[in-house]
Amino acid sequence: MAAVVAECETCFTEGVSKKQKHSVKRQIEIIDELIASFTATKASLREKKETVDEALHRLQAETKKGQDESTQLHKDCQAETANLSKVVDANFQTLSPYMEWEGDEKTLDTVVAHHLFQQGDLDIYNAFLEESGQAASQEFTDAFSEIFNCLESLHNKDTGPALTWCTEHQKTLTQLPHSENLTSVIFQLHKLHFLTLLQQGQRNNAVAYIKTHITPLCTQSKSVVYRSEIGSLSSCLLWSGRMETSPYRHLLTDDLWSTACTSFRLVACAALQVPKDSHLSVCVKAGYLLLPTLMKYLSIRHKFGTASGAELQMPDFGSEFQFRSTFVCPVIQQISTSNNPPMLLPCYHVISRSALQSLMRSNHRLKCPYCPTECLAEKCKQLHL
Amino acid sequence: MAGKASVEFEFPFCKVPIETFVKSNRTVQKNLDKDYTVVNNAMNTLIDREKANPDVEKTCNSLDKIITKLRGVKRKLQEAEAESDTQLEHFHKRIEHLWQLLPADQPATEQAPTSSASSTSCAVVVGSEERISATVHQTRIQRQLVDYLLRRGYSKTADTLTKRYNLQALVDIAVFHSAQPIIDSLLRKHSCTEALQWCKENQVRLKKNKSMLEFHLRLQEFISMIQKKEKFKALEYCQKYLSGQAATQLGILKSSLSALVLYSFHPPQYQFLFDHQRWEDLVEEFKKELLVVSQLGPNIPLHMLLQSGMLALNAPQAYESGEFNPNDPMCSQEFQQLAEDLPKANRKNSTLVCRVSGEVMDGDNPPLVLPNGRVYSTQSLKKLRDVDGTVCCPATNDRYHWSQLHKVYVM
Repeated sequence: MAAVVAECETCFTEGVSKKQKHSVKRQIEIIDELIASFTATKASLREKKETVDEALHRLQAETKKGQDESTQLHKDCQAETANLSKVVDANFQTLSPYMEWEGDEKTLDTVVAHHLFQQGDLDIYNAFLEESGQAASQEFTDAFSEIFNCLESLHNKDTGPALTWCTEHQKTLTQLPHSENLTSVIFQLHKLHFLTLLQQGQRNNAVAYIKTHITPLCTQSKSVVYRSEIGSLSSCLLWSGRMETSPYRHLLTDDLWSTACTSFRLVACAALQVPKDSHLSVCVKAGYLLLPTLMKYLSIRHKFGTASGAELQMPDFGSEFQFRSTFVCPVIQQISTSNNPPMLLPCYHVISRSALQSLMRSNHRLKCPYCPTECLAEKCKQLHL
Repeated sequence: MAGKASVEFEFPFCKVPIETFVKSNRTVQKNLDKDYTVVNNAMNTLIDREKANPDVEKTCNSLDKIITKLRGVKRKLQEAEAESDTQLEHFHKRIEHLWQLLPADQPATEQAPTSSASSTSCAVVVGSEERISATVHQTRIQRQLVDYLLRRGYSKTADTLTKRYNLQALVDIAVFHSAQPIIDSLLRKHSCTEALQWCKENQVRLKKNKSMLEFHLRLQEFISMIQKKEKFKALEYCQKYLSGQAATQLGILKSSLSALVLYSFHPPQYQFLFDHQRWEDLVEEFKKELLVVSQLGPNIPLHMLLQSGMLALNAPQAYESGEFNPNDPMCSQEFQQLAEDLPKANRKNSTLVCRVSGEVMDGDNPPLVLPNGRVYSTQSLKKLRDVDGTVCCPATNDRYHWSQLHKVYVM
């Protein structure tokens, strides 16, 4: 498609855009020339340089000429545009639906509303609720409100509310990976506050801050990273009030703030069991990934009917769409569910329970489809992925 | 079959601005031609008038009038120039967006080479899409959202969203805005004039699509005349505009003419002709034709993208209570409802995701199985390992020694 887009671009910039700009300018010029000519004619008439009849006929001819040129300019432009249009017609398609949209409109409106809310555009969210005649879903918005409050303060370079939230939840978020990520966020926030104090020249406060808040993190966490960070932060103390001139001025960029915002949002969403990205955007993103395959499949099915035997194979999506383990039994080529869970063979290979039962011989022994090991069916354990 | 980029399906995105551009150029040129003709006619009149007794001062006065007219034409052209520049700029921005949607590298490999068209698997290489940046993704989603909002009639929200994210160049809001006065006049003023004007402007396309909109509008005007008791005017109107369709539309024409004749008796079987619903139906028909004529297309792209996404994500486990993941759209009530009729996806390869870290378990981070059948990633288990070399299972709290853990082989 890169070639197509390049062709469109050339057709547009070299053809349409150039011609149009030239044409428009020239059209105005023609009128200007006519105005000038008419004005000059008045003078020449008064100075008796030509007769009225001659002058009027001349002006009429000039007007006609102008009109003809104008028409030609227009034709040229339309021709260029037609070329571009042809390129587009030949190379682009519209989306065709997999099937008729049977989804409930109200449900989709809810999904859209949630998306607008999660984007942070509260006013647009409210306007949409009004226009679509929906009620606000209190429980959805409540879950996010504390996160949004903290994020808003962070945008205003105030780490207070976010830190409060983190310390509150430190007692409950003791499991991996939350505890690790939470500590990391707390460290980032303390670091940012410390740097703010330094920028304001409050060196003593900064020293006290680093002792109270940042050093304990170092001893708490097993990670070595914090120790080296504290080293550089302590060095920053020398440049209190004039951080811009220090070799650590790269710490003053907004990047640190945005990273902290993102980290906080991820930890908070995971902790509160709310989606970190709106479901609409996740679904649409996945939709775009599948789109080329799907459209190809639909065109084949449309042309040859279901007898074509075409199957819609899912491509391998990235890790952001892996929400849980998916075990596809190589024997039956189907996804394992709780009804047909994966079973671990003594040779540490895995097949589904139904595959195990079908491979089992009358003496309750079976041979692993991967390696030549034989085993008893009872020795196989259910796997919890 | 190598995977093509999803950019291929941006037909309306590319076509609609071209259509608008062509139309506005045509209108400008038509008006310009008219103006030129007016000047020409003025010259003719002037020539004729001054043939007999040429008077310099009178001529100069007339020429002044023409000069003023020409200045007016120039002003109009300058306005058109500004409009044209905006349209060109918008199209340029759209091309930029298309470039952003194309990944920097082409897909590296081809899977499952198939040549015959009737062959089975439509396997594809993904990976090209994933290299698109998050902001570009967001812009793309916003575009589709604005399109959805406009098609559903939520124009205020669409407007605010467009302004907030600077999408003016990338969305076709103008098409819907231009339709609003026509819809209003149909619904509120019960007038077909604007709609008929629109039909005239787009008659070539409408005829190509064999549209009945104009006929329905004329019929509605005829019915309005009946209501106003303008019997003879109505008959004339019917003869002029409706009789051409007599062959195919005999039924409704018969009813309407009977209604005309019997109007003073208010026959109940013809009451349906005077229903407000007819106006609403006209609006719906107009909206449909608008979508086709403007090249926006009758289908809502957001619907199809969601269908595609749900097909991709619709795993049977998402419906099991033990497998709830807040980030998975298919675990939500709304999406489960929307995906009711869609098949559950079938995958080719297994993917194992560690319940503790959420990371994919692969060769770099292999899955380990505990004696109780639970599986976690090596890295997570290492973090959970105590100083005495034992690990506590996060699910059951059973404690095992590291030596009891074993690699599990999932292909």
